[in-house]
Amino acid sequence: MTDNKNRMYNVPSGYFESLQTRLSAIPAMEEEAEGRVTVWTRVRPVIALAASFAILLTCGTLILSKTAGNVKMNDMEFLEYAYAMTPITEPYSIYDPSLAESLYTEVSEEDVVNYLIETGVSINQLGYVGVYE
Amino acid sequence: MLAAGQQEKAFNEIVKNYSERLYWNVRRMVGSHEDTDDLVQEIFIKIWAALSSFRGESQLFTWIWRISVNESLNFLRKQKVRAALTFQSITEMEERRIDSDPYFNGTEAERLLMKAIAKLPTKQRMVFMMRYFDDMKYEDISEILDTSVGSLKASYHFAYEKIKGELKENF
Repeated sequence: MTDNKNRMYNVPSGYFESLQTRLSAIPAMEEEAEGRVTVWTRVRPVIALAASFAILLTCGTLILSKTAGNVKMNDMEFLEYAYAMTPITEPYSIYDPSLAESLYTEVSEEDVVNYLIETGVSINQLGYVGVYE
Repeated sequence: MLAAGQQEKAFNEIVKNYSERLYWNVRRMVGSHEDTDDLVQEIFIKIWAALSSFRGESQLFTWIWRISVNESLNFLRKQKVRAALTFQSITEMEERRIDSDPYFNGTEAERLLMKAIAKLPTKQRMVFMMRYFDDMKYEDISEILDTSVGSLKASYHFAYEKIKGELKENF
């Protein structure tokens, strides 16, 4: 080591003596610390992890059994749900000729007017767009 | 394999012969006195824990230095992560640290040299420090860093050129 190249740094006075004393105490400290490590200290993290997992599993099962288990759908409801859940970016779901045909044949103009009135559209507004005269 | 008493005696010899030299090596790597103090203690705890498995296949000196270099690298890595998490530049952080270090009493040129070294990539910095400050042989550095002598020479050359360029800019 070239002391000349280290002269740019300083240490508090008496530092190296105190450092050596502290470092020499490491074996005793480590042996003492090793003596304090019990079986419980070693297995504690594993038990904590297992307990958290068990709690999570129990809570999840309870929540699912109280909610998902009670929902019962008939075929029609399931079909409606499936249509609602299909992303509109899916082109086949937008163009479904059989569905479109049934919509045009089953919904009358009167149904449309009733629907609009129910959703808050006024008679004047209906007259304005020519739906209700 | 050493007996318990022998191990403690060997450890105390290491403390006596290497603690100061190791302190300076770590200090130049990490900069601050407080961080160096913590790191040197951790390095000696590692040395104590691994001493029983030291088989003498490498020199004691290179074995100790390898532990020290690995610990310093870990520290610098953590520091980089900390800087990234707080959206700070590690170079600026190190420059600030050099400027505000109460235990730095070098000249302005030495301050600039340390700032230029702080800008080097970690491995080049390691090689430059060991070669320039510790006057270590490439063969020893090669054993410590587990890198070929040719690659170390190249690293030192690049580091030297970068530092020279950096200092030229400031003078």
